[in-house]
Amino acid sequence: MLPEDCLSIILSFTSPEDALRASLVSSCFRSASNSDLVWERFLPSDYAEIVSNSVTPLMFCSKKELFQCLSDSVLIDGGNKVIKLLPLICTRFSNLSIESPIFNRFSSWRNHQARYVTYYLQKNFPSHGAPIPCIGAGYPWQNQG
Amino acid sequence: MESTSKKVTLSSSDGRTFEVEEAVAFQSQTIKHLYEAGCTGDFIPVPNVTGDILSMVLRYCEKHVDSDTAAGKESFYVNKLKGWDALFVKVDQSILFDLILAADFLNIKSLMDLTCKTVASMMKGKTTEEIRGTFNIKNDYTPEAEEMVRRENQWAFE
Repeated sequence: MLPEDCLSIILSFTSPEDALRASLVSSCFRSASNSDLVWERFLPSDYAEIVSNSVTPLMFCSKKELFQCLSDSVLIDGGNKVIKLLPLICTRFSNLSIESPIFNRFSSWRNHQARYVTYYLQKNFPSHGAPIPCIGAGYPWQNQG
Repeated sequence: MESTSKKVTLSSSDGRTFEVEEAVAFQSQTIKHLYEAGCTGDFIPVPNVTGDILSMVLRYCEKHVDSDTAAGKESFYVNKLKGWDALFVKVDQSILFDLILAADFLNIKSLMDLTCKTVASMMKGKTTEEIRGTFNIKNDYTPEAEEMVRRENQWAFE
């Protein structure tokens, strides 16, 4: 098999799901799939901004851990907005209110493998059906053609 | 192709020599740096790559030599090149892996991306067991270690 560095590059061209599954293949695959090189690619390109805008400091010591942090809802912009990576497994969103206008956005985006959505908290939400502010969607490399 | 363009000679690990134009050879950052550092003797050694693989790599570089020029960026050529690339990586797994190692050593980014994306597409959507089968990998985990890795990634599948 290939050296770990090359394996990391290969895994960076897959998806978060594939990289996680690969870590169960062998110990070499696990080291390769935990590499920052892999998860840097899966994170939103403006993740540094998200980290600095987080209301509570995010605790992580690798890009994979940061990805895990962002997979939970993170309060940003002084607590006015929530950001959340779209789920690896869609059922994670089952606890979201169906009435929420946000939910409709999710369901249309899920099939496009959008990376994350941001939305205003319900109390600050301007009006029902208004456009939901989105600061990024789509895997970074998919836009490169 | 101008007949006056400068040529360099590369020597593979098994002693075969290849004379190519500078523009072709210099797609490899490693060779470019070696050349610029004064390694300009009779030939530039490529100790990690066999003649068979090096000739494939050079064929790739020859094909891609114009891809940075304005003419090379026209969609007709880009699409034609994409088709050529797709055929180029239709090789046995062992050759594909050798090409990755060569692209890594020679530092040719576009070839590295092409070959790694090809292997990535062989992994996508596959189960752990299928990946082991495809690449002939031995599971070196103890049942306890495997369980630990599973727990480590539990957050993604909850």
